[in-house]
Amino acid sequence: MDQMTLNVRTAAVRVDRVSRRYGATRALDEVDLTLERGITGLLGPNGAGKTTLLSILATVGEPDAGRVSVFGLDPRDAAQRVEIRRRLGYLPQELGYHRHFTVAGFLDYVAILKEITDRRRRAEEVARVLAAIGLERRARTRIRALSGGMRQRLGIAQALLGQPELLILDEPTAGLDPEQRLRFRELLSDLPGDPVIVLSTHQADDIAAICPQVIVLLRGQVHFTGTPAELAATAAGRVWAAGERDDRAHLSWRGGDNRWRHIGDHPSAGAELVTPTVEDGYLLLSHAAGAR
Amino acid sequence: MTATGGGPALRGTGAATPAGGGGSGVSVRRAPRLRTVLALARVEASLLVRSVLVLAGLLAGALVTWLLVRPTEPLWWRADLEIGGGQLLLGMAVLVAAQLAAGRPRRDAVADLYASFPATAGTRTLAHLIGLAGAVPASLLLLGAAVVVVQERGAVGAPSIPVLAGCLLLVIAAGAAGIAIGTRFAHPLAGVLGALVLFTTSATTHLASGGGIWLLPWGILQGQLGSLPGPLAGYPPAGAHTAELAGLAVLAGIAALAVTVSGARARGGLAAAGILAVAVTCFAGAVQLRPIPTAELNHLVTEIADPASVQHCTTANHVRYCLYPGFGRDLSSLEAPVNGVLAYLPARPGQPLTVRQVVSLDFTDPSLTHGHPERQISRWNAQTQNAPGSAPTASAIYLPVGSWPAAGGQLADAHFDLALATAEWAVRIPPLIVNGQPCVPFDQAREAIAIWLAILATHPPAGELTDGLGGLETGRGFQGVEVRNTMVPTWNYPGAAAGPTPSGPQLTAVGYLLAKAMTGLPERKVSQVLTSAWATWLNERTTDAQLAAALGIRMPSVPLPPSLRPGSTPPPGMTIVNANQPALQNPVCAT
Amino acid sequence: MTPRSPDLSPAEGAPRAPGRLIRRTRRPRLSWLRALHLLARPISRTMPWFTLITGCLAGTVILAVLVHVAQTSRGPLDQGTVRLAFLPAVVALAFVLRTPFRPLTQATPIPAWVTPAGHILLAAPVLAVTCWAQLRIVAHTIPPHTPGHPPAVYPLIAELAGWCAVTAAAAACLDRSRYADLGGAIAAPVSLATIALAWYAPISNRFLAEPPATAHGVTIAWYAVASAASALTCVAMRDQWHRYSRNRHRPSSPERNPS
Repeated sequence: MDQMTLNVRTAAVRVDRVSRRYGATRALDEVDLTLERGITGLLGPNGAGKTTLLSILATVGEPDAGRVSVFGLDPRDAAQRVEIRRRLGYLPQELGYHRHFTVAGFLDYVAILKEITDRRRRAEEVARVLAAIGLERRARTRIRALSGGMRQRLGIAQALLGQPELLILDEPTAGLDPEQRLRFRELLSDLPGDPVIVLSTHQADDIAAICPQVIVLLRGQVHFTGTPAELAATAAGRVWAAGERDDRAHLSWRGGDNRWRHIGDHPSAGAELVTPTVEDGYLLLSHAAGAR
Repeated sequence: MTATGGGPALRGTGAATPAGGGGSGVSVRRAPRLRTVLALARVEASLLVRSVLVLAGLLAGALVTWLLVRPTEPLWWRADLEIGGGQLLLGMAVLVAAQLAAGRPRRDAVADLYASFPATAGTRTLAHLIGLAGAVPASLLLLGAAVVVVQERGAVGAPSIPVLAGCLLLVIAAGAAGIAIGTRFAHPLAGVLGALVLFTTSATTHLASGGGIWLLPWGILQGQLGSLPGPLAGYPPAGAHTAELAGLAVLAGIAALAVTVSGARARGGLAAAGILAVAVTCFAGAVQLRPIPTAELNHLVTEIADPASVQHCTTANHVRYCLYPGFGRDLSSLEAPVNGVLAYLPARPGQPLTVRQVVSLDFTDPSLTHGHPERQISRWNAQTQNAPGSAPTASAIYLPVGSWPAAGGQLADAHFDLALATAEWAVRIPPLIVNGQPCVPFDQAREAIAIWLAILATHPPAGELTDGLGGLETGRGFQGVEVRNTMVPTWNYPGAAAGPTPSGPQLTAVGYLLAKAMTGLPERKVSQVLTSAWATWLNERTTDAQLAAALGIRMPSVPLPPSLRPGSTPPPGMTIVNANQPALQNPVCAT
Repeated sequence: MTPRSPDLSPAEGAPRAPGRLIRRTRRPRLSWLRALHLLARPISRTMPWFTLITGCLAGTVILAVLVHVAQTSRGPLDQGTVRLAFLPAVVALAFVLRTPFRPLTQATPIPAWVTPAGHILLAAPVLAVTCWAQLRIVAHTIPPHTPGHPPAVYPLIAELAGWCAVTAAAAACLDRSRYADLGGAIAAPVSLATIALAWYAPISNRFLAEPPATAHGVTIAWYAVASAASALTCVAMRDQWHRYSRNRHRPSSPERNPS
C-alpha cells in the first residue's frame, strides 16, 4: 500500500505527561501541552528544558515517559516518525555547518534529505527560501565566508524547505540585528499553509510581537500558557516606577530615563504603577518559581 | 489550551479553546526512497570527484605508476600489476576522502539536524556507498593513461582485463572501507590510519609465507613476473583476486550499513549478504593459493632449459638473434649496437655470434612452486641449471628476459653494454670465470680495442664513461682487483648491469683510458693501424704499451695510492676486491 | 531569585563625571611569561592525548604483527620496517598541532602559539618512547649470532626526527589556511607526500638516504631538515599582526587627570 490516510484529533501537536532526565537532572517533568496551528512562543531561562522539549517534538530525542502526538502520528512508530519528519522543519539551538559547502549547495543537500528529489522543484524551493531570508545573492558563497547572522538566517532557511507543517525554531533570532529580526517576524507571519510554529527565545518583545500564544517553561514544568496579553496581565498592579530603588521589590533596575523600575508583590504607597509588559509577567513568574 | 504541570498553572482569562472536531487529514505516505538515495549519491559523487585529496591521490598514483613502469622492459604480464601499484595510492586517497564524508555530520555538529530529516542514516550511508562512483573517473583516467603509456613503449603481450578490473575494484573497496570507518569514527585520524594500514599490507608482502598472504597471493611472485618469457596461463589468478576484492568491497559496505540501518528485516538482509561476501572472499582467496599446474611449470622449464625449441631465430648480418615469441619488436634495437661494432671490424672471428634471450627464475620461490613436492622442485632446478646463460660461451651473448629497457638513458646503457659484449666477442676476449671471479684482460691491447669499438658504435656520454673510474682521475676514490698479486685499478662503467648477462670480463682503468685516448685520434688512422696487424692485436700477449706506441699516443698510467702499495693498509671508504686473498684473485683472460 | 541589574556607578545615586579617562598602568611586554606556569595544566588538558597515543599504538601494533609474520616466514626485519611502523605516529602528530578556540586565543595577551608549542613539547617524549619501543622490538628479531654489526640507529633517529618536524611544519602552515577546519586530515597527507618526495627525488635522495650518503651525512642532512622545518613551524605560528611594527602602532600618551 503506497498511501495511508489518517484522521487526526483536535490538536495538531499533543504532549502528554512527558518527562526526560539527564542523569540526576530532570529536564522535563510531566509536561502537558497542546499546540495549534499558528505561532507559539516558548519562554524560559537557561536550563528550563526548552531545547529538550523542542528536540523531542522534532523527533530527535525521545522522552523517558509520556506520549507525544504530532498530527495524530506517534513518533514511537518508525514509519510514523519518518512521516512526522517529512512535515517538519527544525532549527536546532547549535547548528554546525559544512563550512566548505556553498549556501545553495547546503540547502540543496538538505532539500534532498527532506526527500525533495525532483531537481526542478528542489531548485525552486532553494530559490524560494533564499529569497525569503534575503540571501539570494549569497547563493554561491561558501558558508565559512558568512557572518554569524547570515549563518543563522541560513539555518532558518533550511528549516523552511519543503513548506513544513510543523516548524520548530530554537532561538532563531540569536545573532540577528534588529532589522533582520523584524524581517524574521514578517517571514513567520507570511508563511503559507498556516503551519504549527514553535519558537523558543529569550526576547520577550519577539513573543509580544508575533506570538498569539506563549508557554512559559520553568524548571522542566509549564508554568503558564495563554496569550502575551494574559502573561503581561499577571503582573498588573505589581510593576511600578520610582526615582529611587525600592528594597521591597523583587527586581529593580534603572532605565534609560534614569528612573527605577520595580517588580514586586507589594508596591510602596504612592508608587507610580506602570503598564506591565510581557517581560514583566515572565520575570514575575520566574521569580515566583525560583522562590519556591 | 490546556496546561498541567507540577507548579502553579496560570490560566489565561481568554484562553482559546481547542478547535473542535477532527479537522485536518494527514496522509502517511512512503516516498520513493531510492530517488532520495540516488539524489544524495549524485551530490556525494560530485564532492568526491572535486575532492582535493582525490586529485592529490590521482597525481601521486600517476607518479608512482610512471616510476614503476619506466625503468623496466614493458611486459604486460608484469606491467598491469605495476599499474595496480599506482592505483593503490589513489585508493588510499579515496579512503580518506570517503571517511571524511561519512563522518561529516558528527564532525560538523549537524547530527541532530540530520536526525530530524526523513532521510535516515541508512539512506545517507547507502548514498555514500553509491557515491563512490565519483572515484571511478579518476581511476579510469589513471588506468587509461597508464595503459596508453605502456602500449606506446611497445609492450609485449596484452593487458589482462581481470587485473585492470581489479585495479578499479581496489579503489572502490578502499572507498567502502573509508565509509565503514567514517560511520564509526568521525575523527579524520581514523581515515588516515586506515589508509596507512592499506599501504602496509601491500608494502610488506615480502614478509609473508604462502599461507598468510591470501590478500595479495602473488606479491612475492611479482618480483619474478618480469623474468617470465610469457604469461603463465591463469597465473597470477587475476579473476579470483578481482572476485576477492569485490567481496571485500561488499563486506566494507555491509559494515558501514550495519551501524546505520535499523529494523530486523534490513539487518537480516545485511547478515545474509555478509555471509555470502565472506564466502566469496574466502573461496577466491583459496583459489589463488592453488598451486600452479604442473603442466604449466613443465612448459616453463622447457622454455628455460631448451629455449631453442620455442624461440624464433633470425639471422641478420651473419649474427643470429634468438628471441622468445612476442619479443620480435626488440630485434631492431638489438641489431643497432651489434651492427655498429661489426661495421668497424677488419675481420670477424670464425665462430658466428648468437644473441639469445635467456630466463633466470628462482625455482625455490615458494609462491612459484608451493604445493609441489620437493622432488619435483629439485628436478626442475636441475633442469634449469644447464640452461643457456648459466654457463657463458665465447660465441653467445645472453639477454635476460625483462632486462632490455624500452627507452631513455637505460636503453643507451644497454646498447653500450651489448656493443661491448659484441666487441669482446670480436676481439676474442673469453668470458672466463674462475671461482666466481671474472677474468681480467690485464695489459692486453685487445681490451682497449674492444672498448674503442663499443664507444664508436654507440657514442655514449663521455662523462658517464668517466664515472666508471670511481673517482680515480680526481683522486676521490679507488676501485681495483688483485691480479697476479698486483692491485689493478678497474673500470666499471655505468649500466654494466643493463642488457646482457654480466658474465663478461672485468675491465681495467688503463684499458678504458687507452680507448678514450684512441677516440681522440682520427678514426681512419686507428682503423689503419688495427687492420694492418689485426691478428696481432687480438693476441693476448700484445700489450697496451705496444698499441699505444703503434698509435703514437702516450701510454696512460694509473699510479696506486700510497696506502694501496704493497704492504700498506687501505683506508676506509676505498673499494678493494679480493685484497690479499690469493684464492680469490681474478684470473687473466686467456683465449 | 533576586537578580539585580549591575550598578556601575561608584556611589549610589551619584552621576559619573563626563569625559573622564582612566589611566592604565603599562605592563612589560613579556609580562605574560609570569602566567606561563599557570598554563601548564590547561595545556596538558587540551592536549589531544588520545589521538597521539592512538597513532603511536597503532604503529607499534602494526610492527608487532609484522614481527609475527616475519617470524613465520623467516623474513628479515630491518630499519625500513621501523620507518613503516612509525608512520602512524607521524600522522597522529599532524592532528596535535591545532590552536583551540582560535578567535579567542588570538585576542589574549598570551600569544596564541604558546598552546600549540606546549603540545609539541608534550608530544616529543611520547614520540621518543614510541621510537625507542619500536627499535627494541626490531632488535629482538635479529638472531643472536648474526655475523656483522647491525646498522647504526642514530641516522634513523635523525630521519624520524626530521619526519616529525616536517609534519609539525605542515600542520602549523595548514592551521593558518582555509583548510584549518580539516586540520590533520590534510596536513598528514601533505607531510607524507613531502617525506616521500624528499626520500625518492634524486636531488635530495643522495643526501638523505644511505647509500649513497654515509651515516654521518644522512644524520646531518636530516637534522638540517628538522631545523628548517622547525623554523617554518615557528614562522607559521606567529601572531598575524607580526607584519606591523610596534612603533607604528604605539598608542598616544593618556591625558593627565585635570583634577
